[in-house]
Amino acid sequence: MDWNVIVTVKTGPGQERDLLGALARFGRFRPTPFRGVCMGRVDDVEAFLAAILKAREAGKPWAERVARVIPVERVFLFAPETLTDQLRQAVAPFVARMSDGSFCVRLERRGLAGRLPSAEIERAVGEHVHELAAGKASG
Amino acid sequence: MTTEFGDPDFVIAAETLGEECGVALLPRALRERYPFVQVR
Repeated sequence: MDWNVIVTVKTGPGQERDLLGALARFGRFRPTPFRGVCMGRVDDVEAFLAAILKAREAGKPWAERVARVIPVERVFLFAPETLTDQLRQAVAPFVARMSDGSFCVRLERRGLAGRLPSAEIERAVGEHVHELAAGKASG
Repeated sequence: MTTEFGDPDFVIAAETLGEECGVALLPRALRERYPFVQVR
């Protein structure tokens, strides 16, 4: 579980292999069993994101292969039946950093098809965030 | 706080890969600065 970024790759032959080669200068990246999805660990996430942006602005082909990047703060193992509770705990520290405003919870599932009801989990975790935010406001 | 799916101030992202899960808090400012930081 030694990763703190997910990078998804634009579709096309050789794109993932080429991008993995380019990303090696920033950290330890590897493919996953899921098509077009790479995971990696970088020491400085902000610098990594800035480097991709700068490379895109410079027209570097490797940077154009990047579809999405999600920097994650915490990684954990889960069982399908406990993911909702684990997520409730994992996102709780976020609430203190969320100023009053709007939010949503998005779950991107890869694998475990039919065993993770994404919409239900998103709703349950979102309700928990509302409860925590209400407690923060009143406390 | 309110729930908004279009362009919320904060996106709480959970990304699963098999039985591993990563969580992220993505404020709008981060998403705007880096347009490739986005959820589906």
